[in-house]
Amino acid sequence: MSNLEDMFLNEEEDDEEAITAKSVLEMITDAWVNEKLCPEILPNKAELVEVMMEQIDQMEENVLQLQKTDLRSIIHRQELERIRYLIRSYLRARLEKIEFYSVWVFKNQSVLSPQELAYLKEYLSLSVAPLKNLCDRFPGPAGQLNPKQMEIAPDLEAHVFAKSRVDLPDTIIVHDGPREEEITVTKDSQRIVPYSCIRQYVRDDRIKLI
Amino acid sequence: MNTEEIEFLAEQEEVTIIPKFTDSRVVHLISGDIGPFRAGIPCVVPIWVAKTLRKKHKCKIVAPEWMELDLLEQKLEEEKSSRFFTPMPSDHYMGIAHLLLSDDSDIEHADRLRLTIKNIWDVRVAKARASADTFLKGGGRHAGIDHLTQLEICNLRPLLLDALDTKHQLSVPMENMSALNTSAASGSLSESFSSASTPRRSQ
Repeated sequence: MSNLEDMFLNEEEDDEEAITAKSVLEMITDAWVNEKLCPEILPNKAELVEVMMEQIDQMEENVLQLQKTDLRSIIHRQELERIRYLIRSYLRARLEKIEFYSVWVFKNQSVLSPQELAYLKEYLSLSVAPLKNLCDRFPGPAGQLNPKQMEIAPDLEAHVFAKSRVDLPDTIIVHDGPREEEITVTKDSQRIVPYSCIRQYVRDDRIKLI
Repeated sequence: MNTEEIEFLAEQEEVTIIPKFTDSRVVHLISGDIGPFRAGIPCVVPIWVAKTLRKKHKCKIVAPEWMELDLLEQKLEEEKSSRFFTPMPSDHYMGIAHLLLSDDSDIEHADRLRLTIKNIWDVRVAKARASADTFLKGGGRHAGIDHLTQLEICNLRPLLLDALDTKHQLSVPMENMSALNTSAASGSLSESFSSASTPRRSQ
C-alpha cells in the first residue's frame, strides 16, 4: 500500500516538474482570451493564477538583487508588468461577469474560486437587500420582487468564433430551428458556431475561442 | 478582445535581433530563457524584448522570413485569385507588421512592405465582409472560417456576431419566447432569497 502511495506521490511530483512556468503562462494567456470571448463564466483557473503569482513574487525578489540600471532588470520588470496585466485583466473579466450574471452565477457557483464566491456573496447581499427593502414599501403587486426576473442568464445561443485544438472524436450538432446539422471538427479548424454546441469542449479546453 | 489586446498577443511572438552589446549571462524570463547576447550574432527574443532593446539602441531587428517583398506580392496575388482565405505566414501578420515596420524601422523597404501587407489585409477584409453578407443572407448558424487571423476576426466580430444573434433571437418560435418573458410568479419572495441570504447569516 505504501509502495503504491510512493509511486503515486512520485508521479505527482514528476508531473509538477514537467509543468514549466512558461506553459503555465501560456495556459493563463489562453484562459484570458477564452474568458474575454465567452458569453458565460468559465471554470476558474485559480491554481494557475496562484502558481503564477508565486513565480512573480520569486522573480521580484531576484530582480531586487540586480542593479536598477542593469538591462536584465529592465527586461525582467517589463515582463512582470506584462504578466500582472494579463492576470488582472483575466480576473477583472471574470468579476464583470460575476456582477452582471450574479444570480445565475450563484446558482452555478462550482465554476468560481473561493475568493470569487466570497465576492459574489458580498455583492449579492449588498445589491439584493436594498432592493428588497425598497420593494417592501410598495403596495400590491408592485412590491412583489420576482427573483426570476432578476436573474440574467448568459445567452448560450450566442455565436462565437472557435478554433479546435484537437480532432474531436464526435461530431458537434448545430440546432437551427427544426433542422439539425452535424459538423466534424478537425484540429486547427476555425468556425463560427453557436456557443451552446461547443460549450463542453470550451470548458475542457479542447476548443478555444478566437 | 480589442485590437490592443491582440497586439499584446502579437508582442509575444518571436523575432530575430542582432544585439549591439555583449552579455554572456542568460536572462531567465518566466516566458523562457533569452540570450546570451553577443554583439553581431543574431539571437531570437520575444518582440516586446526586441522593441525595448531597440528603443535603447541596443539591437537591430531582423525582418521575419516571411516579411519579404517578392513573397508578399505573391501572397497578395494568391489571395486575390482565391475564393477562400489563404493561409497566412503568421497568425499575427498584421500585428507584427505594425510593430516592426514603424517609420524608423531597421527593416529595409519598410514602406513598401507595409503597403503590400496592407493590400493583403484589404483584400482579405473585403472578402470577409462579402462572405459575412452572403452568410447572413443565406441563413444557417455556422460557417467555416479557416485561416482567418485574430485581428481580422476582431474586425468582423461586433457586426457579424450581433447580427447573427439578433437573427437567431427573431427566428425563435413564439412559444419558446413566452417562457422567458411572462413572469412565472411561482417562487415566493422569501423562498427564493433564502438561498442568497443564508451565506450572509452564516458568516
